[in-house]
Order: sequence, then C-alpha cells, then structure tokens
Amino acid sequence: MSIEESALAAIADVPGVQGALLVAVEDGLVIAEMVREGFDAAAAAALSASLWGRMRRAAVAGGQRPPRFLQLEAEHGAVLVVPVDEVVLAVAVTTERTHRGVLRLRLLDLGGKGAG
Amino acid sequence: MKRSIEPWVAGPLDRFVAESGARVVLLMTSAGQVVAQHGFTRALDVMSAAALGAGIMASTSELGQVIGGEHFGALVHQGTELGVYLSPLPMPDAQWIGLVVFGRDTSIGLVQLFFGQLVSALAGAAPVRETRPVLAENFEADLDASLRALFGD
Amino acid sequence: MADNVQTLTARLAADPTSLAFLPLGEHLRRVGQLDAALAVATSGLARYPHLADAHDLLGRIRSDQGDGDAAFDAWTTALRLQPDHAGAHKGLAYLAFRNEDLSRALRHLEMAAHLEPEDPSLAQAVERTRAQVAGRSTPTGGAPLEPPLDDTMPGTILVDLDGRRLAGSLHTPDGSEVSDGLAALLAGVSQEASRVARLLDLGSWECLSTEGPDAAMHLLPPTPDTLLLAVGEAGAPPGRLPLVARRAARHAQQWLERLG
Repeated sequence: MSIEESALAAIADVPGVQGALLVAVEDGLVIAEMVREGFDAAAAAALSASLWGRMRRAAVAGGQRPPRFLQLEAEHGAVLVVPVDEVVLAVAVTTERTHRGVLRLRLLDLGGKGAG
Repeated sequence: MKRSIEPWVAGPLDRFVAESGARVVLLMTSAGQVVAQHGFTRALDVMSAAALGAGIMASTSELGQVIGGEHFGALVHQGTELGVYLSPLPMPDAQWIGLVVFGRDTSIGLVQLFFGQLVSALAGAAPVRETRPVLAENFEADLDASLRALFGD
Repeated sequence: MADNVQTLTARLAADPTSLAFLPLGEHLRRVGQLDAALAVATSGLARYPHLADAHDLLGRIRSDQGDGDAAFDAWTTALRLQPDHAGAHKGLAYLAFRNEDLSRALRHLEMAAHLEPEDPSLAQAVERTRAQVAGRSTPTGGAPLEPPLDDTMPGTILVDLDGRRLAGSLHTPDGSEVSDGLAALLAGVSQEASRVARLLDLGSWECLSTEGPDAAMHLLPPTPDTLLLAVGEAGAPPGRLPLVARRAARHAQQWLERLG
C-alpha cells in the first residue's frame, strides 16, 4: 500500500465516509482517491478545491492566515477539507451523520504530516 | 459576448459559462466550422481559434494513430494567467470540439466537470434530424452569414 | 488550564465539600464540555443548594445547552438567594434579550452595571439597550439599528447575498476594520457552498466552518437572504463557535423580522 493509499484508508475507514481524496489545490484534480462505488471523485475534487479557495480568500481578507481545516455541513452529509501542504488538499465526503470528530482528527493528522 | 448559430446550443452554453467560470468558449465541428462562441470580440479571432483548435485535435488524433491507435481525449495547456482546455465533444450525429479558455479564478477541475455536463446537455438538446453538417456544405458561401449570426452586423 | 483542571479535580476528589466545583464547572463550560460541566454543577448544588453562585453556574450551562427555561429557573433561584448577584442579572438580561423583552433586559443590565461598575462592557450594553428600547418606542415602531449579535467574541457580521454588510463588525488583532472586504467575499463563498452540496447530492448547505492558526470562522444562513459569519478565537473548542453562531443567527432572524 502506497503512502497515499494508507493515508486515505485512515479516512475512508471512518464509517459513513463515501470518498477520501487527495486533490491538487490549484487544479482541483484528483491525485489519489479511495471512494465507494458510484461516488464522483472528480466532481468532489473540483468542487471542494474551489470551495477551499474561496474560503481561503475570505480568511485572508479577514486578516487571517489560511485555515487548516474546513467543514461544510449539509442536509444529507458533509465535506471536510484540510491542506496537506501548499499544493495538496485531503478531502472527505460523507453522506451520513457519521462521527465528525473522529474524521476531523484523522484529517488534521494527515494535514500535520504534510506540514511537518 | 455570446452567440450561437444553433439556438438550442445557447442554454447549455450559458450554464457552462456560468458554472465553470470560463472566459472564452468556442464550440466547433471537427472541420473547424464554428457552432457557438462566448467571449470573443472579433470575428477574425474566432475563425483563427476554430481553425487552430480543429487542427490541433486532428494532429493529436493522427499522432494517436501513428503510435498505435491510441484515442486521446482532452488537451490542457496551463499558462501563468490563463489555461486552455481543448476537448472532443461527441454529439449524436457528429463529432464537435470544445475550446475553453479559463483564468485563475476557476480551475481545470471545474472546467472539466462542467464540460462533461455541457456534453450531456447538448446531446439531450440536439434535435433529431437527417444527417447534415451544422453549416451548409458550401462553407465559403455561408461564412459571411455565420459571422453575422455570431457577431451581428 | 489543563493543569488547573487536574488540580481542581484533585481538590474536589480529596474534599467533596470544596467549592472547587465552581471554577471547575465554569472551565468545563467554557471549553464546551457541557455534559461534564452539568455533572459537576449538579453535584455541587446537591451539597450547596443555597449557594447563589452554584445556581448561576447552572444557569450558564443550561443556557449554553439551549435550555432557556432551565436557565431562567436557575438564575431566578440565584437571585432569590442573593438579590445582588450580578451574574444572575446578566444571565436574565440575556434571556430577556433573546425573548425580545428589551425593557426587562434593560432592568437586569442596569442592576448588573450598578453591581459591577468597573465592567465597561456592561455600561456599553446598558447604553445600547437603552437606545434600542428608545428606538422601539418611537412612533414608527422601527427595529433597533443593530441585532444583538454576540459581543463576547472577536466579531460577528450579518451580510446580504450581494455581500453587503447589514450589521456587526470585524477587526484584526491590530484593530484594522475588515468587515466590508470580508462581507464582499461571503456571497461567493455561500454560492459555492450551495453548489458543492447540491452537486454532491448532499441537499442544501447548512453551515460552513473553518479553523485556522489565527481564528475560527462559522458561516451560516440565518434566513434565505442573509449570511452570518461568526469569528472566534483560534484554539477554542471546535464545538463552541457553532453554538454561539446559531444563537447569533436566532437574534439576527428576530431582528430581520422586525425590520420587515
């Protein structure tokens, strides 16, 4: 199992997660993925990178440094994003009321590894 | 500025432009005949871009044949400020080509995502009719009319 | 503070009659561990049922849990036991504010300000509430100029879907005003949030939160036409800011309804 695969497996293993992705920040393209059947990884990558970019700009406009964690909560699930480093995002998409706390910690752990 | 020769193309094209954040879009037949455009301001640029885009796709297709029959998909050129996405656009009765120019306010991921939706929308919107070119067979004769349709008088 | 928690817990374990449950319960409340805070407060109250501070602590915890009725009971009990308890007056002022009973809110705030004259935020709150009471009693019956957004955090702003600020303000730590620049970008953020949720089949978006090295942010739509952004301190418990933002959103809804 590659480093990317083992990193994504830790996220994809959380119950309720439909897809775990590594995404190029600038391009919104999938670098690596571990997704359930029928999950549109390309759409999730493009959209989450775009959302990340917008929220990042908002944070900077608010006089802050870029965020290290983002969570979009929706009616039927959530999207969670952390920057692994300056060019890669880790993304998790869940369509169930899964345990967000565990997912958040695993993603932040991945972010910490990238930053370090 | 947006114009299309085929009226049913306008709706899907509008949605694509709005969703993808594309700055310039050109839809053309594989022969380089323009079907619709968004963002060009000069007729000459449209015709040049269509000819070059169709030429690149044809060259790439030929290259695929030479190296063993590989069918290539889309091409992406990423510059510092602008990117270009050039992709086959399969229609029910023809092969079209899409050329999209995008800036740093969007991404190739979004362009690809919504281009896929554009392909589906156009295929669904295309009228069922007898096989014929989008423009009349005599391209030279219809060129002026096409330019008028795309840019007005 | 982790050391403090350990010290307080140890003190309480060694001497169950200790008043250490008060700072321990308050700390747990502040870090968002509301269930634990409630357990500490109720066990303390079992030993000290006539201690106003203990009822005040219970009121704050219940309020954070969104149980306004229980908070009201706790704070009125505190005042019955100790009529000059400033904390209980502040709590009841907050509940009255939330119920749009501005006159009652003003009475409690004035009492709290009288009891704690050294607290400038109370004086400001009295001034603001007086202005709102006056505004409401004008012949036109207009809504107050600003909704009672939570002023215990670094900042909260309410904006329309064109990115124009309706209320609140945000400042950087060095005091620079960043409200309008940030507001202008929020409309695009919410459109993107809506698109992401829709295209990934997640339904409509409910809220968006970020954590960063300088601050945490929580964005939500109090109404279909507005967005509320709450900015909290970096490192605060991640569950706390959403609670505060939702409370501010309720205030904003009421304010917008009155505004018509």
